[in-house]
Amino acid sequence: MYIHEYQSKRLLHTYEIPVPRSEVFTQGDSIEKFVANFGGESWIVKAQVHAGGRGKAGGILWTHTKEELKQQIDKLMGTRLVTKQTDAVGLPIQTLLVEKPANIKREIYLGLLVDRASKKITAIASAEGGINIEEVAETSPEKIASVNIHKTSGVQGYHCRLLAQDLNLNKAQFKQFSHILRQMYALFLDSDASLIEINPLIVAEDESLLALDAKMNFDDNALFRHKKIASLKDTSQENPIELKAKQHDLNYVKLDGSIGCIVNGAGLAMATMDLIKHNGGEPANFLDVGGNTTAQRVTQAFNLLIDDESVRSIFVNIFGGIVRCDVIAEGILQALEETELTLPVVVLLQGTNAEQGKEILKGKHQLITAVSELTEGAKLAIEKAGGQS
Amino acid sequence: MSVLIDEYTQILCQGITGSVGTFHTQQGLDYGSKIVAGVTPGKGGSTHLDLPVYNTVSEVMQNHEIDATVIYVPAAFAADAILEAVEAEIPLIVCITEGIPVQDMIPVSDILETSASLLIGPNCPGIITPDQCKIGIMPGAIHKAGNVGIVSRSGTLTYVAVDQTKQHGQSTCIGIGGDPIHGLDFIECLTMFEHDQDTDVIVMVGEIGGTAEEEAAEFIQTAVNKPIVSYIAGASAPPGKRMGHAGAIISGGKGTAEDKYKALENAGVHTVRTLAGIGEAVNKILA
Repeated sequence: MYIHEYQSKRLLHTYEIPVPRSEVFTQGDSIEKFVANFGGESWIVKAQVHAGGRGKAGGILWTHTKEELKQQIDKLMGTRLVTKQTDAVGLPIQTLLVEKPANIKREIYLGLLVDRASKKITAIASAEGGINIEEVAETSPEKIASVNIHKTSGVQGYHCRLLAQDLNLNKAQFKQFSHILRQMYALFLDSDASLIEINPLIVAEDESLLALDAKMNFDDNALFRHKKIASLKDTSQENPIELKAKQHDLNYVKLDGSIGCIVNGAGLAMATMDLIKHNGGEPANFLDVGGNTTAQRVTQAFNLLIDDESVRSIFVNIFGGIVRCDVIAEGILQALEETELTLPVVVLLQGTNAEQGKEILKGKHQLITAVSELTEGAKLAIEKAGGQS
Repeated sequence: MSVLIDEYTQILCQGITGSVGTFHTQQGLDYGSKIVAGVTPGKGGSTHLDLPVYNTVSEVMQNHEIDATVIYVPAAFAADAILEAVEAEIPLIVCITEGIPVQDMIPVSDILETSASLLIGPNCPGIITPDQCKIGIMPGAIHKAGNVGIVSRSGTLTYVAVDQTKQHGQSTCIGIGGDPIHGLDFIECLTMFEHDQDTDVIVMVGEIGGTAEEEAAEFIQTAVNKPIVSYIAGASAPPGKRMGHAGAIISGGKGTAEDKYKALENAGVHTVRTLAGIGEAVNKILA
């Protein structure tokens, strides 16, 4: 689960990690009242959306007077921000972070994540922080320092020394850096985070370190034991169909194509998308109804795809395991009766009782074509969607 | 011969009285698996599906010979159950449970490093040697004894691979699970299949993300002589919406389906671009 920058900074502040002075403006607040608390100095207004690339997209604005501050808040609030990481519709701006600008001498990168290769928590640091850090990692990996932190030992002095060896920190800064890493690690464990990133961690003009931007991600599977973190969720930042899918416990991701997919199991769902693309089509979505799916979940999946206007045909690919294909077939027929679907549906049932399932679907509904093979199914779904894209 | 489990494997079920545990224990018994006992804390002394139920794994070990345990306990308590099985030195631990918090698995993997126990999963279908022993949630009926060894990160993709190889049948099928931190990986499974007399061809089904397939490719070059057919799911997946750079920094831009295919092809693996090609490739090798 992602959270906003202002929420991340509040968490950092709670863990005694220095962040810039700031105020949060929420949709519905009175601008007059809000601005009254500020003097005439410069401020930065930062749109709070769950996507990177905000600066280049016009979501971060500088102001130098009270009047300007008012104008910029008014300009951003309630609009949508389209960045290179969002879709064409963008994300709604409902919260603004108004922050005191810092004078930056240098930008450092500092991150913590669960690394699947080492099966440990890994800390990463680089003297070349800022927005181009990924390029640095790709072109000059020697400029990135990383170290695994064992859960039994926690952060030790050598972890800090190793990470800081190329950061050119003076004694006081190194002390502050060690403190920040230890506190970040504590927050990481306390909150079941999967990522905490301070980028940039700046060396300010007064030589102290300051967390200028922060990104955090938390393990969805652990939210049950972190009510406070869970309450930070902002559903306005999620695609409405994806949100509806989550409420039904379906794993859905919206894509750009025209062929709706209903598949059981995440791996098979990806493989079905591959198959459609391989045969010249474009999937409209990734949709996993669960490895051991039920007829009811397939019905919910149909209801979900009806909301997506770009879908031109639907490819149902179910491998019946414990749940038999004949039960799924009955479920599909029932779903078509209950929903107002008018799109062609191609159904591939494999596994337990696949033949019976196919038999049940045969000639029952004019929208349904039952197929018996993967490539055949993909090709037909592409054809029914109006041919190759 | 087969890999890890056979008709003599004696099995414990942790979380046997829950609805998932009950259902799949019955399915396993029907298949002929030798499930001999169960554990559910607080229900020790009772019987369930005619099997004795104990409060702790340690009590089970005092009364039974256990070769493998299968875990169906809820996600919040699953790491605890795995560690209890490691403590009891059960050789093979199969954890089916989905949704275990990642940070719970870090100490599990640390402790497994110094233990003789092997872990399959979590978040996996389990392991099956057709007609002999089924440990997990896979549908037994789709399998047939034969000479194709299957290892896969995804559940239903394993079943499709089984279906694709139905002409020849399977020696053993292992679903290693898709969680970021899991037990057995491709390399261990490939090693076992390489040394298994009943396996003539290996099917390896991978997925985008991580570098397990690249590492496997490197290993295959020097240590595996048997023919391998491989499919990687997710070539068409768009780069996920993500915030922060740490994931990309640590992977250095690696882990795409193309990277994996290239690495595997360099190692002499027969790669197929859609899962519909698995059966054809296997048939060609075994023709």
